[in-house]
Amino acid sequence: MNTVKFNMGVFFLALAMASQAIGECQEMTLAALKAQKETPIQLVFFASWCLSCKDHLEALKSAKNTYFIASYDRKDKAEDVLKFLNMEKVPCIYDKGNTFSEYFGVNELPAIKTLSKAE
Amino acid sequence: MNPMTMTPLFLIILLFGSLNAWGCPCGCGAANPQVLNPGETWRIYSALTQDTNFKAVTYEGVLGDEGGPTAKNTLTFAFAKALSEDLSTTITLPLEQNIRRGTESHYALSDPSLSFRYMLIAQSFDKEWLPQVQAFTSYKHSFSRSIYDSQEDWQMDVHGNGFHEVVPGIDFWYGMSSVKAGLTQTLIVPLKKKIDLADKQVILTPGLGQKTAITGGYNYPGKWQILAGIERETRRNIRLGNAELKDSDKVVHSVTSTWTYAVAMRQTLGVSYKRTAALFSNKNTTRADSYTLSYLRAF
Repeated sequence: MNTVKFNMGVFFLALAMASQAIGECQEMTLAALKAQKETPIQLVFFASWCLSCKDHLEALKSAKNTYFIASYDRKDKAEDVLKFLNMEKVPCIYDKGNTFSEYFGVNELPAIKTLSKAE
Repeated sequence: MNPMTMTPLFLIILLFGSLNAWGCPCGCGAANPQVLNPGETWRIYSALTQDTNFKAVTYEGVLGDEGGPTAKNTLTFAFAKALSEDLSTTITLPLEQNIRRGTESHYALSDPSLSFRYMLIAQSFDKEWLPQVQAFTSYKHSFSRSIYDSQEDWQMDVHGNGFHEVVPGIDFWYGMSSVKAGLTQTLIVPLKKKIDLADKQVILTPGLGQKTAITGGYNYPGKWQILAGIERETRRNIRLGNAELKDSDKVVHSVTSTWTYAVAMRQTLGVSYKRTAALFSNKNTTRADSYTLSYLRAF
């Protein structure tokens, strides 16, 4: 049963990411992200108003297994800065309601967290 | 509670709070409870202020003794709520205590206010040169007694200026980097009121006012922030019936400084000092020293 749930989670996540328009930060639930835990995932939290986030984004733009999470921010502004840094194709999650940042204990921006298999 | 007895308590909180403080390099809460950071849904703000060392400033700009309370303590509660991504509202309730020579005191709710703030331009690092621009308007309801209807000696029951006021304004803020700068321009539109004068009711029309505030600051090292500013407020002559009262206009130049410390994510403690009528020439106002301890929590 758990395997079925896990596979469905992966399927819907893959479907969601595939349907994501280029340069758009997608609204996703924590459960959907957790479903994709075949390997550890690096989560980079950022905001468009955070000047020191700019360097972090540029340094990590080519990193593998990385999701960029726009927190404490407006969706359109987060998408604008990714476009500005030529990062339209990176997987971006819009942290609506700041649920991701609260779950991962993000106390400051920028922040890098890891979602491992154990979680 | 007397602010002087509260001071050691706040200092203890400040000291022990710093042991497990969290950093906030980009957007710690501003001292102004009305300004919600992106992603915040609401804020609560409480502050304890003591105003002392009152000196009257005459229409000629001469300092003299003030014939009212010798100190004022104010407990302010404010609640800000985001109504949309760009629009927020704030309710402010001040509770005031007038003290004279440490023996007499008078408590009352001072004038409450309701304000709305709209984000015209949000700051982001793809356009670093653009400041955050917000338009706001507030309404202050004249609820408490003023000098026009005071019934006690030494004006101990005066807790407001006696006028309903509408205050629209615009706010420019560069806040992304460690060095901060801002400019706020407001218009003060006090509404007319009827007063009793020699058994006759006359209409008192207060003069239109404006206030300019220039603020600069530094955020170091993400937890501490210091802001300092200069304010200039002017008000035109008062009209009594159809007659304009000559030399009733007001000019005030004040200095402000605020230190804030982020004790936790979206929680700040602040210490502020303000001296009204501190610089340049001032007219028809009161010089005072004001000390504030504040706590702000954003959600």
